[in-house]
Amino acid sequence: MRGAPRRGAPLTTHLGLLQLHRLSISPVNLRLMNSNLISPEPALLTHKLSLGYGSHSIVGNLNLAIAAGRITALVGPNGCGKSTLLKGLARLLKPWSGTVYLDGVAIAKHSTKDIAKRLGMLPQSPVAPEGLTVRELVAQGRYPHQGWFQQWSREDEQFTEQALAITGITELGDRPLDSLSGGQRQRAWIAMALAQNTDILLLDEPTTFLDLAHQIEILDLLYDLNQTQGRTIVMVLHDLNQACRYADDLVVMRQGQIYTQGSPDVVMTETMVSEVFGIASQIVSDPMTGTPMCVPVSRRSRASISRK
Amino acid sequence: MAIRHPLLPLSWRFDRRVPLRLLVLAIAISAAIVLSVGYGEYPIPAVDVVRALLGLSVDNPDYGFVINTLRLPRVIVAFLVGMGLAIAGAILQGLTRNPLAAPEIVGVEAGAGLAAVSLIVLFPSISLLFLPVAAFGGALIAALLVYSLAWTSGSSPIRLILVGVGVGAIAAALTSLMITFGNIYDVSQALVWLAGSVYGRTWEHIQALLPWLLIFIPLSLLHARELNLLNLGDETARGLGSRVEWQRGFLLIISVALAGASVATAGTIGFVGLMSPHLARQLVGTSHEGLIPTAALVGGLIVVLADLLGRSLFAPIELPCGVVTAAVGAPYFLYLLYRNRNQ
Repeated sequence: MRGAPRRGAPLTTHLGLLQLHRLSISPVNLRLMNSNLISPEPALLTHKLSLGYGSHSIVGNLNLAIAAGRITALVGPNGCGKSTLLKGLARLLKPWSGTVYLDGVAIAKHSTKDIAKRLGMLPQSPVAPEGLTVRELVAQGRYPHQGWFQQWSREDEQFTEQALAITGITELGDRPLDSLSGGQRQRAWIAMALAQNTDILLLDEPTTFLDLAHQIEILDLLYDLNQTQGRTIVMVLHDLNQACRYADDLVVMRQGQIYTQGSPDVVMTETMVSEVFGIASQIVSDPMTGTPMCVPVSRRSRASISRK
Repeated sequence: MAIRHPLLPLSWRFDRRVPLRLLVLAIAISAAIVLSVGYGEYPIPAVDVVRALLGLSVDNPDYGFVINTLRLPRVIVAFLVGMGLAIAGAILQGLTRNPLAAPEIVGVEAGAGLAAVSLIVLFPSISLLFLPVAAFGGALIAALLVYSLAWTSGSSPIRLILVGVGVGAIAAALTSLMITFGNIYDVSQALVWLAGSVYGRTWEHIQALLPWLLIFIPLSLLHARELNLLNLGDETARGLGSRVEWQRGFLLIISVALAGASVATAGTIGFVGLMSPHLARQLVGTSHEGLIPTAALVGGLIVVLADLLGRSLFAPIELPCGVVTAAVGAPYFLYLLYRNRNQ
């Protein structure tokens, strides 16, 4: 059974797993012993992670395992802590307490540059200085692989050009970023994260401020990256239906806690939507993909139903 | 464009515009220096200036004295100070991601000025060598004050400027206080110096300034790459593996040291640190590896030309070069404010 829905990840699972890591038991055994784990070795794992800003606590005592090689979407209402959690996973935010494990090792034990070789993070609506060209931006993604004496190796150039090609913006390379459309700009930022060449990609609302066509374009691109290159993708998404379409796993958050986690087919229920988002809805099947789709019941639709 | 060693892991990248622009700037600066050294009440033909600078024999024995003792140190100070201020400005603008940031705007120059004037007034007999140290201290205190008051709580460009102007005003007021209570002879010295002038600068001044530049200019070039990253915002920079806080602190110290040493040598020459990085960006783009050396040469050129103009515009009356740069720089600052507002 893969990805059974559960309220909050069971603590015992994670504690057990941590110990197994220390004993370096092979992934096969791990899978046998933790039958409800999604994948043999989680790419990212949190143990009793608490995060906050100033004196304001956002995420409390959170245990989460992110499966390697899959697409995970963090969803939840505004202010539920999903972006904060993503920042915590990317070590952009220092935890109040608890630990994030990257490939089984506490993230604080790695140097920040080593982490940057394995984990790329695209913040929400990042900004670039005026006049910066697309190629210059994408080339910045090579930073963790460079030193002062090795600032622009052949490899750096290859990965930069490759990232431009994959995202389809090679011909925009010499244009300043501020002259591009929102979708093109977002692709340039994703290209930068790709040039970083990390196994894990974290994206905070990669589709905000984009029109529908560009949203689909970006999500398709991320899906392809996952399918063809096996990259682990974790993203915060606002649109539940898009999350269901593209993600292998949903992590549903509410008030700084994980409400449930698992495959969209299992997680997306009318009860979940009503308890987490506070709206009545119907879950139907997406006519294109067969994935669950949430159709909210609004006052207007109720009225029209009752009229009939 | 890239330079790569075929076998060793050595490689660098630069904008293809950089080498040519640097060359043109270097030629322009050489020409300006020759012109400036030749100009004065006792004019010297450019050919003789070049010959004297190259150490060749010159017909007129007076030329050697006029050039090497009277004029050359002054012109070199102008060039060095311009470089220091321009790099300080380029770093500050990169650090704060704020096109309006510059040592003279965010109170760093005023802090350096206060410390230096205090030193002149309180310890009149102290060696010139201590002036840059005091100025560095003053500049650092001002920068830390501004940093703690403005930068930690969001990095709104206007907030930084306002706090900077406030801290600058406090420093200026304290400087006036020093001047009011100081010994009249020391004060008059301090006043000439405060106006931002390279008048009467000697090889001794260069000796006091040069070590600072020789240490901190190479450091600024070594850390140029980090500025590119910080320019993308803290989160992106951190995500790419930059130790953001550490880098920012280090770059701030480089910037403050260059600004402090420059102010200690030539007083507060305004707007050079603001204008030079902008002009350099027009020339070579935003990448700091090319921007910092270009801004340095632009700054050097500006101050050398400002000094030449100050001496020639209303000759025999001499305008301090700080007045000339302010006359050009203040409108430019207003223009930047206006453009920033419309974004």
